[in-house]
Amino acid sequence: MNFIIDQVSWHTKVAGNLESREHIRSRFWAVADYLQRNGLTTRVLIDDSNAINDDFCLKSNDLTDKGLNLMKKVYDKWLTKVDEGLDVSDTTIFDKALLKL
Amino acid sequence: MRGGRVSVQQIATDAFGNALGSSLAGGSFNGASQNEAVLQGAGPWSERDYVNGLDLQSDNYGRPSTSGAGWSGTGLRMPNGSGQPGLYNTPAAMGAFNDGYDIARGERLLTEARDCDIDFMTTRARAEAQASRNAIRAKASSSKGEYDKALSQLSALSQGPADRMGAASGPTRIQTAGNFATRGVPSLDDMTLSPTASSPGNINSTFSLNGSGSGARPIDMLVDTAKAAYNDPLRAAKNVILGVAQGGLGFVGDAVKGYAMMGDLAFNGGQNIGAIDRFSVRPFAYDADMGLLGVAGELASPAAYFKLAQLGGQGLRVAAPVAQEMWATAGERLLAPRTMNTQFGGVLVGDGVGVSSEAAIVGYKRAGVGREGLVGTELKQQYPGASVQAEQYLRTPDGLRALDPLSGTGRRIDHVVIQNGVVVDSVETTSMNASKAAQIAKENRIREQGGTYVRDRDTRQLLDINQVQTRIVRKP
Repeated sequence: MNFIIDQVSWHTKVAGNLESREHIRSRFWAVADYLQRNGLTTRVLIDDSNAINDDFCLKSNDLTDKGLNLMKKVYDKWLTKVDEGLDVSDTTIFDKALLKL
Repeated sequence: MRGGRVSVQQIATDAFGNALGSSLAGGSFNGASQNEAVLQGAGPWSERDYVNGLDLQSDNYGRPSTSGAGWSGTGLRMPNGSGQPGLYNTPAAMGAFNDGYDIARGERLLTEARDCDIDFMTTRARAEAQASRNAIRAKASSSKGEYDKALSQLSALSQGPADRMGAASGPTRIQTAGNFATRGVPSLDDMTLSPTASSPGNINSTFSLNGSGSGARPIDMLVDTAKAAYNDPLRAAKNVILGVAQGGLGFVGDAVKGYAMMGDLAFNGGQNIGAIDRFSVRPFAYDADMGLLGVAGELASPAAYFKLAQLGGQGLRVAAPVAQEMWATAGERLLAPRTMNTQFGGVLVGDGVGVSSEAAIVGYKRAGVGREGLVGTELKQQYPGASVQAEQYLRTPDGLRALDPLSGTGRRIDHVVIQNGVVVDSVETTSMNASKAAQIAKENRIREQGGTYVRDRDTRQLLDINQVQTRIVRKP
């Protein structure tokens, strides 16, 4: 089953969302870059953080099985931590989960 | 308490009535005065400036006084038996009139002064209480110990005069706003009392419970449940059996939750309360109107006894605050409109490991519920006549709970507003600064997979929420 894991516009268009557009873009870049650097994508998602716009999204079929498993295990948890103040560049939680896969 | 005003008009009328009565008592009414020279009108009737005799008498009318110097003109007046003008000749009656007027005016002045005084005191007390609450809440986030202390302080504050006094608004300014059931959660405004519209101003009138829901409360559901159990014993038995089974599984879940929550609270000062749902291992969904029987089943299960025994082993020092929270929460839920979370499991029985953390969780959760209750009330005002329904799961077109394809969990929306069978608003309530990226992503993943329905609790129909984007409302 192919599905969208997350999309920039989901966050930018919500009334009352305090997260800045810049922060949202940084967040998406951090995840996409991590997945690409670790060979967890089936294609190049993006090569420049400035190219991230409202239409940018992470889809399940853009990821390898391992990449999708990793996202299922930690993406929601990582996002919650970011909500609580974790820096978007801190991907330790991905690293730990990846070692166990 | 306020009020007790005396109407100036009423007193004046009484005084005048007394005066009038006195004057009439002094003689008999003989119709028109025979000693008065009859005043004639001036000019032909058809002329524009024509005045008749009554006009002239009215023009000659003079103000009365206690000395009898009033009524200087011929004027309109009642004659007494001796042929003298009645009111003119009764200084005592005029005195009564003026006394009554003074009394009425004095009463009014006193009442106004008292109201101003109360307004001032109420405003000041509220401001002071709010400042104290803010300070306590800020401190409470630093540690578990500070939180426990803050809980009792906030509870004490909510019993203060500022909370007992009503808002100085409305036609009567006689209101009692008591957080009678909320204790330490003063922001639960939907549970305060106010006079019914049918009897404004009567302090002894029947008071209504302001609610953000459509009126049904768990206490009403209890009655409905009893009726349903009588009419459908097989269904009731099923729920009790489910409850017994859940007792065992709930024990494991509570233990896991307790350990996890203690860890969370220790590391982040209790900020991660939103994780409560993640650790709640409760696989069975009771029928909506049969939840109470399920709870009864859980309490009757052997695991529940084991939990209670374990609780006893921890000693009263631990058990007491938990019991206090348990009873308070249960009471609130029974009395609250149904917008409150009516899931009883997890707070009625806490295992020995997780008791203290669960008490904290319940407290935090209650603060969140208070915020949501406030928004529920505001939505009721914003959409008069609409049904504001809380904690609505996103569902699939066939009514099943829709699950996130990434995490495998469901999504509950804090409030949906249903008007004429259509969902017109969807609201997520949170604090002033909380980020909701995880929740936004999850909801959209579910919606993308077709989980765009909610079940109208009034009609049981599935309603499509696809066109309504959930918005975030922030409250302190």
